[in-house]
Parts: sequence; structure tokens; C-alpha cells
Amino acid sequence: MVRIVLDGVSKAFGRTTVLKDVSLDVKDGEFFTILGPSGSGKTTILRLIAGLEKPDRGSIYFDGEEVTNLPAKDRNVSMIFQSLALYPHLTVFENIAFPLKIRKTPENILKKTVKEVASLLRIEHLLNRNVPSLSGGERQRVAIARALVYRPRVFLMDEPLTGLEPSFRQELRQEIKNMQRATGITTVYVTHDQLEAFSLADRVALLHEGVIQDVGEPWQIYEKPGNLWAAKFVGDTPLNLFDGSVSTVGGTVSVFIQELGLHVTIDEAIKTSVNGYVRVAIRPEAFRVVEKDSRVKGVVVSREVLGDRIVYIVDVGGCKITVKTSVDHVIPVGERINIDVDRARIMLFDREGRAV
Amino acid sequence: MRLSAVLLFSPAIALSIVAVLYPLATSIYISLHDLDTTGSGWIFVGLKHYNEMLLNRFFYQSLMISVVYTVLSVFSSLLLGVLTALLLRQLVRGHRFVETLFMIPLAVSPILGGIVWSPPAVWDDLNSFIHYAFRLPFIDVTDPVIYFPIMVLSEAWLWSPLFMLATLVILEGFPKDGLEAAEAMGASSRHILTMLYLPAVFRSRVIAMLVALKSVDFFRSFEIPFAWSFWVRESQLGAPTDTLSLMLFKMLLTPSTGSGIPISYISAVSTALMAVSLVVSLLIYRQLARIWGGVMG
Repeated sequence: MVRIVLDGVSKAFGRTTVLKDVSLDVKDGEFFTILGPSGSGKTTILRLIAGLEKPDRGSIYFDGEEVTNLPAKDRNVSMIFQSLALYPHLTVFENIAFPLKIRKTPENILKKTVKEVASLLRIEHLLNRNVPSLSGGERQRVAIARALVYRPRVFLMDEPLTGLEPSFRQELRQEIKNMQRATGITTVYVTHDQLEAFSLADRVALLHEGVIQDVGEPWQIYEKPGNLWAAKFVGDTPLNLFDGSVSTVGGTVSVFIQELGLHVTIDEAIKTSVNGYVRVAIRPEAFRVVEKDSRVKGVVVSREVLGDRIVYIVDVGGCKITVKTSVDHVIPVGERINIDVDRARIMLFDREGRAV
Repeated sequence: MRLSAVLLFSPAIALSIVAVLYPLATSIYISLHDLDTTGSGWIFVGLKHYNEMLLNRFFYQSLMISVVYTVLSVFSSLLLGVLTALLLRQLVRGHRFVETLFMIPLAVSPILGGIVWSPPAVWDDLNSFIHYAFRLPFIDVTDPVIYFPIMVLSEAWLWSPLFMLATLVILEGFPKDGLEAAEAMGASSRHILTMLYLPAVFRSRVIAMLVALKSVDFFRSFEIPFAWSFWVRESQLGAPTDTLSLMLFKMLLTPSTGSGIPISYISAVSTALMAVSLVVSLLIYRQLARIWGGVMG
């Protein structure tokens, strides 16, 4: 169990800069996910923590002890690769026993430990099988068993669920989460899948083009993103974006969203930092369709049923907005509706895209 | 089967009949007959020659020599091949050049394997060097205890490149992330060698197949034992150089009393040799595929 700190880490491969001044603080026992589009440098962060790469600049600490130049084999971390990296010429038992054999574990303890881990992952019956004969999910479990069996200080996972069936992914996600809770091993999990990142993590870091965009608990990332890029990246329906002008009317500071004809009261401190202009972002589910009369009125232009949710495109005085509701309101296209906004969920950003 | 298919296949079938089946059938036919010296042709004698074979002490001796020779040759070729492959991978530069150099024995005629390491070639020089450099007595190369291992090593010199190549291919195909995972799990390069590389090599089907193939080849080995029987002046039957093939050859050269060349007897032995080779190779491959291939799927 260990706290991992990355301090100003940069890494380039040839002329391509992959990570720029990345600083992270992963707490002891935390489940930490790094979410980002492909090519954002996620895997490189994992490889740096594992010791498979060395940073060009910056330092890495495990529990305050610098490990920047410590070889991978001396760090006592375990890494699950995207490919799982199982050994096809070894049996399942031999695969799981591999890290124990390296540690010269006595034969009887080795057998017992492998069996324990195997039963934990429900793969005891597969121990004598060969890897190529296993299904995707079984291989997954073998890889997790191999990573767990030697009680590493740090658990690193690089998109281990990619390529599995969706229903199965959820099951394994739950298992990974339970496993991490049970063992308390500090875990860094890399993925490009938001659902995976949010459902697993204690905290999430958003990575884009080698720069950390935001770090926080999943709800924070979603509701209070640190910048506009983060706000746009998370969520499965496009964000509603408006220009807002900041003004003071009768002693209260408010933002006026012209497209919606809406005034939103804001904190006075914001006014001084934004110089009269803000970008306003509203998530589709922050809009509500209401019976009673409201300020914002529109006509339903199109409708998309997503199963448990419905996404409407609504024309509000020539401006198209996206509204997401539960399936209780099924509104026909062409109908006029009243829309209310959950003001607490309105997000504001300055000209540079920083949250204010 | 359609007529066109039969027509397309017919040259191949005809060739097989002429080149493979006919000599084989003739050999089996002859092994069951005796040549009548009065000129009336072949007389059927049934399993007489096979019976003779089973009663002949030279046959048993050669069989034993062949078995020992085969086991030692396979073992040393495999060992030498894997070792050179592992050493080659340590080279940072000149990898391709050395690899090609090591492959040259594969291209030479097998008889050269019996010449290169012989007393007139390398051996006498080596012997002199050892004698003068270390003040050791000359090594008596006519002693079977000395020359038999040299014969085996000559086979290994000829054939280890085959195992080296197969090993190189297997190791180069070893997944890179598998090595990184091993490193992350704390494996040193020694662990990677003993726990990953060697099992990958020894459990591969390619190696199993090569072992089976070369076992049969070594079992029929002729060139190197033939060359050495010259170097150590062992021209009579029953010498320690006499593998089954060499024994048959010697019988051809040393007619037994009265009946000329014992062609029927030779046919019987060669037929038996073929049958044994076929069965043994199949058994070896099956066994290896079961033990090693069980993991490979």
C-alpha cells in the first residue's frame, strides 16, 4: 500500500512530446483512474509508474521515497497490459505462479497461494488448462490473478476490459472494484471509457494531449469540471454552450444568456475575474421539461430514445438546445414545451476555458 | 472423383508409383525370396531373412549403436542449437553475419561432417596443439570412447544450426509486452531465460517436430559413421562405428561365403529399418506433442 506522487513529469519519444509537466498525487489505497482519448499519454503514465520508462524531467515517489530511477523489477508493482501479456506456452497455474517463483516462494506456499487467488477469481477449474484455450473473460481473470498473487504495492491496469462484451465488462468491472476494496492496493487504472473510469474510481484524472486537464471525484469531474475541455469530454450527449454577458442589476451580479433570455445570479467575485464575458455550459439533463409556465419556451424538433433516457432537440427562439429527460415524459415532435434550468448545475468558464 | 481431377493428379501418382512404391515393393519382394544360383529366378522363402536378421549378433549390435548414436546426436544438436541461439541474441552488432556464418554447416554435404573433424583435417592439429600447449599425451583417436563422441559432435555441428534457427524464430516471436510484464513482476534476465524463454523453446511444436525428424535421420545415419570407419580403420563388420545403415553397406561390400552379395538379407534389414523408423518417428512426435504440445494447444 503506497502513495504515488508524480512531480512535474515530462516525457518525449523522439520529437513527439507525450507528457507535459504532469503532476499527480494518488493516495494510499485509492482507486485512481486516468481517463483520456487515445494518444493522450495515459499508457505512458502507467509505464513511468511501473518503471518501464524513465521520465525526461520530473520525479516519481512511492511513499515519499524517490523511485524515478529504480528499475521496474525492484518496484514491486504489477501491471495488467491491454493485451494481458499472459504466457501462451505456460499453463494457467504456471502463469499465476510466475511472480511467486521469481520470489522463491516455497513450493507448498506457492501452491496454496495460487489456489487461493484462483478460487477468489473463480478460475480454480482452469489451473491445468493452457492459455490459448481460454475465453476472453477467463484470460482476464487469469491476468488479474497473476497480478494479485504476489501482493504488489501498486496495481496498474491498462484498459484491461477492452474487447470484451459489454455485459461481461460490467461484471468484471464490479469484480475489479471489489478486489481493489478487499486488498486495499493502490490502483491506477487507465481507460478511454468514461463509464469505466467513473464507475471504478475514487478519483479520476482527465488527460488530454499529455496535459492533466482535471482531477477529482467522478461527480466533481462531471458537475464541476476544471475547464471547458473537461466539460465537453465527459458526458454522452453534447453540452449546450452559450455566450453570457456579466452585468450588475440592482446590486446583484448576474449572467445574461441571450439565446435563452435567461438571467442567472452569480457570485460577485466571478465578475472581477471574467471581464464581462463568460462561456456558459449546461448539461442536457440540467434542463427540465415542466408543466407550468417558464421563461424558456421551445418547440421539439427531434427526439432520440436511448432506452432509459430521451434526448430532445428543442428550438428555443432559433437556437437549438439539447434536453435529456427520463422516459416518463414522452413528448411528440412539434409540441411546444416549457423548460426549466437547474441553476446549480450551470457551468461557467472564462475566455481561456478555465472554470470560474 | 471427377475425371479432370484424376488426370491432373495422374503424373504425380505415376511418379510416386515409379519412384517410391516400385522400389519399396521390390525391396519387400526380394526380402521374402532367395536368388536361385542355378538361374531359375527368385524362390519364395517367406520370413527366412527376417528370422536370420533376428538371430544375427551384428544386427543387435548395430541396432544398439544406432539407438545410442541417435539419442546422443539429438540431445547434443538440440543443446548446441539452443545455446548458440541464446548467445547470438546477446550480440548487439553483427547478429545477421554471425547467424549466417553458423548456418553454413547446413549447406554442406553431410559427408563433410565426417571429414572436417577427422584426424587428417582438424583433429590432428587439435591433438598436436593440446599436446604441445598443455604437455598432455596425444589422445588416441582410434579409441571408440574418443571417436564415438567426436562422431556425435560432428552430427551436432552439422545439424545444430537447424535447432538454432528454430530457437531464434521462437524467441523473436516472444511477445514484447510479456517481457515487460515479467520485468514489472520483478523478473531478472535470468528468470526470463529459465522461466520464459527455455519453456517457450522446449514446449514448441516446431522443436518437437524437428526432434522427431532428426531422430529418424540420426537413426539412419550413414555419412559420418562411414567416414570414421575409414579414419579408424574399422572396415570389418561389427565395428563400434557400425550404425544400421553402415552395417548394411558393409554387407554389400563383404559378400558372405558362397551366395555372393546377400541382397535378400540386406533387403530384409532395410525393410525392417524403414518400418522401425516410421513407427519410432510417429511415436516420438506423438509423445512430444502430448507432453510439450499439451500446453501449446
